[in-house]
Order: sequence, then structure tokens, then C-alpha cells
Amino acid sequence: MRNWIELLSTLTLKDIGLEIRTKEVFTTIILFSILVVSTFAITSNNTLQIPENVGAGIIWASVIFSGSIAMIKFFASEIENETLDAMLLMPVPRELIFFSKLFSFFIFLSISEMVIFATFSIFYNVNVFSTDVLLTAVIFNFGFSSIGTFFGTIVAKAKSKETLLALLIVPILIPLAMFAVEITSANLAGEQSENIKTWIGLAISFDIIFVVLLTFLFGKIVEE
Amino acid sequence: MLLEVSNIKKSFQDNLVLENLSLSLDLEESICITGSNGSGKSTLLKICSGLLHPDQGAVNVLEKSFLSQSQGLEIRRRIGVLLHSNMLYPTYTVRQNLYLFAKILGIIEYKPRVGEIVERLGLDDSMDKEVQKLSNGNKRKVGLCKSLLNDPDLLIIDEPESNLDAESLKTIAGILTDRATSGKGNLFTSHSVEFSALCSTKSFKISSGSLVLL
Repeated sequence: MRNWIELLSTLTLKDIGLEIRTKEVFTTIILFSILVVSTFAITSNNTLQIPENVGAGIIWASVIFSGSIAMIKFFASEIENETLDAMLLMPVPRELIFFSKLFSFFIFLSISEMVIFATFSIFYNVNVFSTDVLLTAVIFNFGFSSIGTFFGTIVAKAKSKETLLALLIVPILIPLAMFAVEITSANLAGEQSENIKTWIGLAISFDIIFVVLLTFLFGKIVEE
Repeated sequence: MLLEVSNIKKSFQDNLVLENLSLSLDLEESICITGSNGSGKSTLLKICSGLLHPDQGAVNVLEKSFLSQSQGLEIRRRIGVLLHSNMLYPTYTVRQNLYLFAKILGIIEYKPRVGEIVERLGLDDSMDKEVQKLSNGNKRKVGLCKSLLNDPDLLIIDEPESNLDAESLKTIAGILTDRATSGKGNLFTSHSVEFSALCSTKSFKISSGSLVLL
């Protein structure tokens, strides 16, 4: 068990080390999201009058699309240099490869979201940072990272991978997106969602089901 | 027996690459596979290293099968593989790459082991250079270092001679010969008759998907 934890931390730190050198994932998520948030802000007559659910939608739509593009970049270099194959040739359980990718992307996404939340807060003059929204972000990012890791691996060798990945993951992410928008829009209105416990319960169940299922399937798809 | 391949068949869509191919590699053997481009040499090595599965037939490495996950992990702990690509992280230095793979392989005293291999292949001066800044020949040597880290019982190499100068080739031939004489096994492909003669105990040619002893 201890060896597995050491191995998982070695693999995760490897991805973080590579990202610190290239900054491809951070740059993609942050720049794309800031562009979307600022475009909406600039084209709105009065950013203070934007309905809360629209504001929450802007935040999470920019996270989903920028995250999808970043996920492609995250896997593209692995495929280009055949380093994913290098890992498959090593004595590493496939589940650990999946979890290391999941954790690495979770960290990249979470850090990038802090910048997106801050940008939104500045442009729209509201405070996005609250315990509810931060908890929502953690649950959303975990689900997004697991689904993105799985489908990112599948489409990494395809020609139209950006389009394909978005087409595959966006429909699956709809329940998580609905949860994130619900909690965030209530927060933007200065309230707490009435059904917050139900939403959190559903979102955590969604994460658990997908992580268990995709961990099992990941081993199968990378075998050949 | 280090490797036993029995009647394997492999095709990609309609293209039949390997058919009824059998091969066995024992201790102290060094087998060279030759053949024209596209004859299936690399596919055979990928199957022997567990990266591809055959459509039919069985592959046993160190008397274990890749089909079982626990046995697959045990095999991977004891083999070294260098395929056509060097499979290195280009933005990491040579040292970072080799230390990373050594840690993943579970080598406790990995620094002296890396130092020993790097010295033998003459890469001491390049240890702190990023892999992407190395020549193709040196990248190949780093790839070879990586495959030798765990002193594997079976070493599988796809065209070890590619991008290497004559002196480096002699060094690698020496490594392969030393391994065979110390009870290990090597399976490699090559287009070079001279290199094959230097370090193989048997040579086969892939023809129409099957092996022919040379």
C-alpha cells in the first residue's frame, strides 16, 4: 500500500514538474477562460444587472470548454513522445496511471479556477469566493478530471481530438454543470441554495460512480 | 525459459502482419530479428513486451503471462524495453528522466545505478542537459540507459543501432554480449548484419509473417 502511495505521488509530481516547465495547461485554461469572462463583461451594457444564473453559467461554461482544450494538450505530449507507452511498459498498475493523471489535472484545474473566480469577481463586482462555491469547485473538478482523463486518453490519437473530446465529455458533464451553476448562482444572489445538501449528495454520488467505472475501464482501453 | 512465443497471429484491420509465429529465447541467448521494412519486427517486439496483445497464440515471458495483471507487473519489473521511440520526457534532463524511471522501477539505490550505466554509455557530460537538446544518437543512448536500469533478465530492443556511431555501437554490442554471458537474454531487431554478427547467438528473418532461421 505504501509503495502504491509512493508510486502515485511520484507519477503525480512528474506531471506537475512537466507542467511547471511547459505551463501549457495553465496557460490554456486561464487565458481562454479570462477571454470568455471578459468578452461577456465587455459586451454587457451593465455587468451589475446580469442575472445570477447567467453569471454562474459564464463561469462554468468557460471552465468546461477551456478545461477540455487543456486536457487535449495534457495528453498530446504524452502521445507525441510515447511516454504513456513508457509508463505502460513500467511495473505500474493501470489504475495508478489513471489516478495520477486525475490528481494532476485536478490540481491544475483548481489553481486555474481561482484565477477565473478572481477575474469574474473583478469584472462583475461580486464575490464568487465562498465556502459553498469552493466546495462545489472541488466536487466538480474531481468529476471533470476523471471523465476528462478517461476520454482524453481515448481521443488523444484522433485527428479532430478537440471537437471529439468536447462532444464526448460535455453531455456527460451536464449533471455536474447543473449542480455547479445552481450553487454558484445562489451564491451570486447572496443566498444559499435551498437544496444544497441534495445537490452535493447527487454530485458526490456522480463522482464516485464515474471514478469507479472509469478506473476499471481505463485499464482496458490503454491495453491496446 | 526467458521468452516463449507460441503460434501467434496479429493483424491490423485487413493487414495480416504475423501468422503462426513461434519463438523461444533461453538464458544466455541473444536473438536478432531481421526483415524488410513493414515485415512485423516492431509488432513482434511490442507483443513480447506486452504493449500489444496477439489475436491468437500465447506469449510467456519469464514463464508468466501479460494477461494476468499481477503477472504482468512482475514481468515488467524484470524486463527492459527500448522500442523505436526512446519514450523520454523531452523537457526533463537526462538525470531527471533516469531518476524518475528508476524510482518507478522501485530501485532503492538508484543514483549509483544510474551513474554506473551512464558512465558505460559515455553520457556523464550530458546528465544535466534537457533531452530535447540532445542529438538523436545521445537520445537513443538515454533510452538504452533507461531500459538497462533494472538490470533486466530480458532486454528487448528495436533497432539499437539507429542514430549511433561506430564506437557507440561497439559499446552496445559489448553490453549485449556481457549480458548474455552473465545468464541474461536479449531480443533485438536490426538491419545491420555487422551489428547482428557482433552480439547475437541466433538470427531470424521475418518472412511472410513467420520466422526463418538464418
